[in-house]
Amino acid sequence: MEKSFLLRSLSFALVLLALFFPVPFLLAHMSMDGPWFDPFLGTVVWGAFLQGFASALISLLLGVLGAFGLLSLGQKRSRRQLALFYGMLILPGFVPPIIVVALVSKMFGFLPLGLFGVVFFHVLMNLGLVSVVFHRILLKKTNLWVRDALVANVKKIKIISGLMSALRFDLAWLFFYFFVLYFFSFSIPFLVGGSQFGGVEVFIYEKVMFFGQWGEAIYYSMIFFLSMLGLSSLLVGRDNIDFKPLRSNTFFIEAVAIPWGWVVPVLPFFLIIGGLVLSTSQIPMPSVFSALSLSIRGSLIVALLTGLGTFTLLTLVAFSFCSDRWSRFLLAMVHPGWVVVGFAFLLLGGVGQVSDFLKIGSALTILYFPFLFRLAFYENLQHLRQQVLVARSFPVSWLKIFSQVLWPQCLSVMALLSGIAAVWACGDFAMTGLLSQSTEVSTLASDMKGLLANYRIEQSLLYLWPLVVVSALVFFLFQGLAYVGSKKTSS
Amino acid sequence: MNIRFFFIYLFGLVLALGVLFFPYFMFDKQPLRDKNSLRVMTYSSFIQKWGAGPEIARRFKEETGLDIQWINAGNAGLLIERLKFKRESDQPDMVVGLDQFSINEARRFFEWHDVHLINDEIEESLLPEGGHFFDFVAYDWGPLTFIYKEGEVDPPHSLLDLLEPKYRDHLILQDPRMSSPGLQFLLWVVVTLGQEKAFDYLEKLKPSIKVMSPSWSSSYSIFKLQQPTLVFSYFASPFFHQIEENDTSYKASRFSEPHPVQVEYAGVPKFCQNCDGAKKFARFLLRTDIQKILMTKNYMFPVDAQALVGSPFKVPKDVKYLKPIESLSLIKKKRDLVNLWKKAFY
Repeated sequence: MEKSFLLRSLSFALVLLALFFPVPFLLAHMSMDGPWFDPFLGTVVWGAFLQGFASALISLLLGVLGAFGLLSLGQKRSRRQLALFYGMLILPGFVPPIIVVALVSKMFGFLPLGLFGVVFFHVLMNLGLVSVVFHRILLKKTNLWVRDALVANVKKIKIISGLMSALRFDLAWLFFYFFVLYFFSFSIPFLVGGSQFGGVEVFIYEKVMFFGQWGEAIYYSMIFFLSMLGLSSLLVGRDNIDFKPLRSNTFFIEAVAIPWGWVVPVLPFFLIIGGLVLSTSQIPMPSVFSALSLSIRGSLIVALLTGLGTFTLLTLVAFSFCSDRWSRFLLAMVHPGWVVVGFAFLLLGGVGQVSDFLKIGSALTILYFPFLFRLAFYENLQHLRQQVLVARSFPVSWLKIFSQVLWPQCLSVMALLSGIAAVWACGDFAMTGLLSQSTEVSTLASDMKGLLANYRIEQSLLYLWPLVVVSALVFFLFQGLAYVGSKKTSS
Repeated sequence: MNIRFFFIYLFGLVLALGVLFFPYFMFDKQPLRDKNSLRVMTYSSFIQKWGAGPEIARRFKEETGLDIQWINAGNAGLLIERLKFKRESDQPDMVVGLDQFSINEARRFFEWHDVHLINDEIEESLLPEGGHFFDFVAYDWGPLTFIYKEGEVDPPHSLLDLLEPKYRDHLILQDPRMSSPGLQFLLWVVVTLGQEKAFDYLEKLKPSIKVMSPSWSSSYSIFKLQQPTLVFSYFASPFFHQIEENDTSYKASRFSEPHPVQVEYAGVPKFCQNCDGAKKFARFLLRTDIQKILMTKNYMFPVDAQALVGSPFKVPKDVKYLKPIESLSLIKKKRDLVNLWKKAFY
């Protein structure tokens, strides 16, 4: 057998091992007793489906509008300004949900609840991300198509509807991505969904937290995992997605821009900032800020570990460059559940701050990886399939193909996704709370949660400012990986 | 593609991580099993900077020479699950923060030293009847009720009042599956009205509920940001606003029915290694000065009446309490009760 094949298989096996170890590990350690059917399963799944479907649909509708709005900003702004604007759009998605809920309800003076509340906050937090992703799709894929339409003197509205039709698989894919994200969403349904729209993760959490039934928790997490796998394989047919990009300047596509559309995705950012200003303008600096440096250090460590963990997993996936079938498997994969992953890491043992941080970073990597792979990495690998096929027809080693073909073209996406993972990790308080056994292990987000549990709501909101700074810092640190890696090519 | 630059940068990132980690590597407190240390597992807000833990640990060390190594269990509701997950070598000598609901589970899975008699050493105990049971030391307690802001909402005086239209969309409750106060409310209704009537009542209560929050902390945050509302919380909650914010407008409503009571316990498991130290600490928790710290950091009532002297805290008079021990028989049926609750709210 070819040596490179063994190495590739080994790296893919490592990825699978990292992603799936929590389930067999828990199965081996916990007693699997308890009832195996909950009469409320149907209600919970239906609630999660309904909120996931509505949230994804509305996010997509508004996000597409926002993306057409963003087209109007392209030529007039520098890359840096555009990056800053992108940052503003996607920021609400990275702020801890409890803070978003608190700030927005402060801003509006009411709290949306139930199905409406879940959909409202999901859309609010992810609208910017949908706009940015679809904006990039428009730039990448449709410029020449629009040029031809303009030459043929086709009306703007017809061009837009033609674009929608041409990009239907991308839209379907975006819909599916966000549907899965919302279906398995933990915090928002937990906070505002009430009982009926509390979400499937809460349903699993309840089995452990309230009943101490591990068998049930793992059983349901497997049911949800397999259902998503089945659903995604139905949705993603073999030839469904056209990933051939058309690269050119973006001049023509701007002709179909909707100039006011960018206002829609930028609204959530201003809602959050407005709520923040309202909530913190009259509060003196609290004494709890004295220990801020320790929490900043903790947040940086968790973020860097998660970012590096994600980068490592993505590198292993890129190196293994698994078959289309396995790629689709990873694409369809969801994590085995927050509580299952968390307790599996607890079982690993090890005491002390270093061990706590390592476990938090690893657990968050496992949780975020499926979403990040689906967000951009699968598409990136699919683009390269043809090139790899051609490269393999020459007598060159796999290592050379990887370093010359795969690695340079994956690096920017890997850096972006690792940056996103790092930012998400900055906002995590649930996994940090579960896995940090030492008192010295604290992060900004876990401190915020701690202050909330101690009546200090306003003080906790003050932590949002350093949290945003740390998040931005780690995001740009990971973007630096792509920058330095591609320096020579661009010079 | 510049591999060299890339690896230098990557190395820089890893180095930065190493630098951030350095203090932890240097001063990582390994859990030494010696006579001078005591390992105490508790929930996170107890040991955070603004919690009672750090000050108590400092004083305990000053007086006994015993160094407390806190083991953070995160959420109080997960204490027992966390204990089940601990390897033998990592087990704590003591657990602080159990409530009357988790005690059942605690006794089911582990054996405990009987330390409850330490409570009897207090001259004037405030602990309500039925709060002093099993093998554990009760160190603070708090009756629960609805908290409101004076002038914004009329206080309710009975469970039936909550059904009135003026409370429509006003109540902030906690999910009993996720939160101990949430479970307290459910049991309060069941004990007061009887199981059958309780679920009819909950059906009728639905229009009054603004939000069913997953935790006490998120429900209280929503309450503070969303006026006018009433939140199910502790009688001592208004003292936080009075002491820390100089705001006396937060009030606790008094019901004609006996109020549910949350009691916090400390226990010494049989597998403890420094059992003497643990028992010493259990006794230390009940000392008047430590009771004062617990009262002003946890915002719960002390078990020692002396701790109230000179403080703005006042235990409500003319208020009846449910005996905490009464909820034990009900908690055994918690799956049935929660399923009925789900029927009402799903």
